[in-house]
Amino acid sequence: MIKNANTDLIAGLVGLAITAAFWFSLDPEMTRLSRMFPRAMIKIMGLISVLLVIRSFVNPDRRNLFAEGSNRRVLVTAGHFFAWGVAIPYAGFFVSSVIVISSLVYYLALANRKVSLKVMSGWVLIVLFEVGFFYLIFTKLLHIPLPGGFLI
Amino acid sequence: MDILIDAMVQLADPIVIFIVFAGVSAGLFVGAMPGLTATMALAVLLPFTFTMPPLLGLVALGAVYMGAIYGGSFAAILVNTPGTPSSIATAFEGYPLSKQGRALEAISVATVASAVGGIAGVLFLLFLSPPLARLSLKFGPAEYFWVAMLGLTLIASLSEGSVLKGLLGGAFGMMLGTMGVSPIGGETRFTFGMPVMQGGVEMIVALIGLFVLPELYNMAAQGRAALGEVTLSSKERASFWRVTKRVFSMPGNLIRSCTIGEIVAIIPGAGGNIANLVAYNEAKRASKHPERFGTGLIEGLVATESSNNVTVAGSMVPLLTLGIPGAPPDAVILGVMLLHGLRPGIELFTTSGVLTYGFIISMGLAALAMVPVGLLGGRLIYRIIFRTPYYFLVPTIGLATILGTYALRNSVSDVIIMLILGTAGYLLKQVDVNPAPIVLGLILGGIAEIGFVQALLTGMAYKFPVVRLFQNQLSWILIGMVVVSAAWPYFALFRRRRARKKRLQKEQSQ
Repeated sequence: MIKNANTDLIAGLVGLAITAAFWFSLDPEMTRLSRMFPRAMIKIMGLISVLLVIRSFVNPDRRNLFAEGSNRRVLVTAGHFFAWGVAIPYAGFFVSSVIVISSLVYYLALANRKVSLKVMSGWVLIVLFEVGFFYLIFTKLLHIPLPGGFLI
Repeated sequence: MDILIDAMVQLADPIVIFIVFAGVSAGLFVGAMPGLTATMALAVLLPFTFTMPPLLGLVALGAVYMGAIYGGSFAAILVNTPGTPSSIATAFEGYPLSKQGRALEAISVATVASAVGGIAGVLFLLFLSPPLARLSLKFGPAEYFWVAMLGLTLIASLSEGSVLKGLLGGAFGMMLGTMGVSPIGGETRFTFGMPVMQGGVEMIVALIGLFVLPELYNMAAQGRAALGEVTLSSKERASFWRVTKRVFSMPGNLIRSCTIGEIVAIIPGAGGNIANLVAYNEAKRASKHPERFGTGLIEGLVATESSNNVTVAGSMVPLLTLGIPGAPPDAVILGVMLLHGLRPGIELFTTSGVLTYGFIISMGLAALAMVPVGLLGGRLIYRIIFRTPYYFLVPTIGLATILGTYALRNSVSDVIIMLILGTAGYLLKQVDVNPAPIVLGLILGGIAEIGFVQALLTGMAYKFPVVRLFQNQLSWILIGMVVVSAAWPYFALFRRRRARKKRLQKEQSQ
C-alpha cells in the first residue's frame, strides 16, 4: 500500500510520459493529413497533464493506493495471465489453459483454506472439464480454430 | 411500417426466442455477481455471437445487456452489494426489505419494474431514433468533430472523480485510437517499432481489457470478501400478481423514473449508474413520506429499477443515430455492429431497417423475458453464483476473456495487448483515471479525427482552414454545449463552496 499518495501528481506525470512517448515517435516525414489530428491531441494531452501537475502543488488529491486486499495476489494473478498469453502459441491453448488455471486456482484458494493433494486432483479434473468444454464449443460449434502450439 | 412487420416476422423464429431467453439468463448470471458490470457481461459473452448472423448476434447481446442490468438488483437486494453500478440505489430499499424477511417480494418488485423500464426504453428508442437519424444528415465533418468533443467533455464531467483526470483518460483513449493506419492519410503511425501494432488497437480488445481485467484483479485482491453471503429464506413467498398491481399503482413514479432514465441515457457516458440515483432522489423528493425512504420502501425500488432498465435501450438512441455510445456497454454493441458492416446513421433505419428494428423490438422481448427468467430461474442462478468460490471464478472469467479476445482476429498479439491495457487500466484506476473515459475516447477519437481532418480539407481555400470548424450554426450550438459541459463541474463546485461559506457565516452570526 502507498499511503497518502498525491494522485494528481502521479496522473500528471504518467500523462506527461505518454505525451512524450507519442511526441517523439511522431514521424516528421508523415503527411499533414496523418499528422494533423495526433499532433493536436498530443498537445491537448500535454496541457491536461501539466494542469494536473500544477494542481498537485496547489490543491492535491491525496489517497492510499493499492489499499484494498492483497497486492501480492494481484501481482501473482497478473503474472499468471501474462504467462498464459505468452504460452498459448507454444504449448497450445488447451494445455496452457489447464496448467495456468489449475495453478491460479491453487494459489488463490490458499488464501482461504488448506489444499490437500486429493482436493487439488479433484480441482484439476474440474479445470480439465471446463477448458475442454470451452475448447469444444469454440472449435466444433463456433468453428474458431484455437492455437495448437506443439501440443494441443 | 412494412419494415416493422418484416422485423417482427423475423423475430417470430423459435431460435430468436431461445436466444432471447438464453441471453437474459446469461446476463442475469453475470450481472448478479457483485463487481461484475453489464459491460463485462457483454465483453465476456461477445465471442459466442461472432459466428451468428447479424440479427441473432445483436439480439443475444441486447438480451445479455438487459439481463445484466436487471441481475445487478439481486445482489443489491440480498447482500446489500450492487451487482452492477446501475443498482446502487436499489440496495438502499432492497436490502432493508430483505432484512424484514421480504427478499422475494423485493425481487418480484424489481423484476416487474425492470420489465416496465425495459419496455419503456424500447418505446423511446423506437420513436426517438428515426427523427434523430434524419437530423444526423445535417451533420457535416465539423459537426461530427464537435459531437465527439461534446461526448468527451460530458464523459469527463460525469465520470467519477476529477474532471481533469476524466479528460486525461479521454485524451489517452484518443491517442490509442491514432495508433495504426491513419483513416485519411493512410500512413502507419505510432507503432513503436512493433509491426504487430500496424493494425492499431482493436476497439473490442481495448474494451475487454479495460473493463474486465481491473475487476478480476480487484476480485483476486479481495478474495472471499469480493462476494457476500446469501440470505434467502426458502419459506418466503410473494404473489406475482399482487406485486404487479402494486407496481402499477404508482404510475406517476413509473413515468417520472422512466423519463429520467431516458434523459440520462441519451447523454454520452452516463448510464444506469447515474439514472438510478437521480430517479431515487426524485422519487424521494416527490414522496408524501420522504422520511421513510431507506427503510425498505417499494416506491424507491420501483424508481431505481425502472429507471436503470430504461437506459438499456434508451442509451442506444445516440449510438444508432450518431455512432456515439450512450453508456459504456453500448460500446460493445457498436463494435459488433461495425464487425457486421453496419454503420450508425439513417441507413440503419432504411437499408438495414429490418435488422435494426428487429434488434430494437427484441430488446422489448428481452424485457418481457426477464419476468419468467427472474422469477423462476433467478433464485437458482443466484445460488450457483454464490456457491462458486472466487478462486474458480477469477480464472474462469479470465479464460472467457482470453478466448473472446483471441477469437476476434485469431491473434495472440491481441491477447497480449488486452492484458497490457487491462493491467494499465487497473494501475490508472488507482489514481482515479477510470477505464470508461479511456474506452469512450478510443471510440470518439476515430469520429473526431475524420471530422477534424475532413473539415480542415474542405477549408483549404481559406487562409486559416480551421475556421471551417466554426462556420455553421449547428457547430456553434455544439460548441456552446461543449463549453457548458466542460465548465459545469467547476460551476457546481463554486456554487457548493459559496453555499457552504454562507452557511458558515450564518452559523457564526447566530
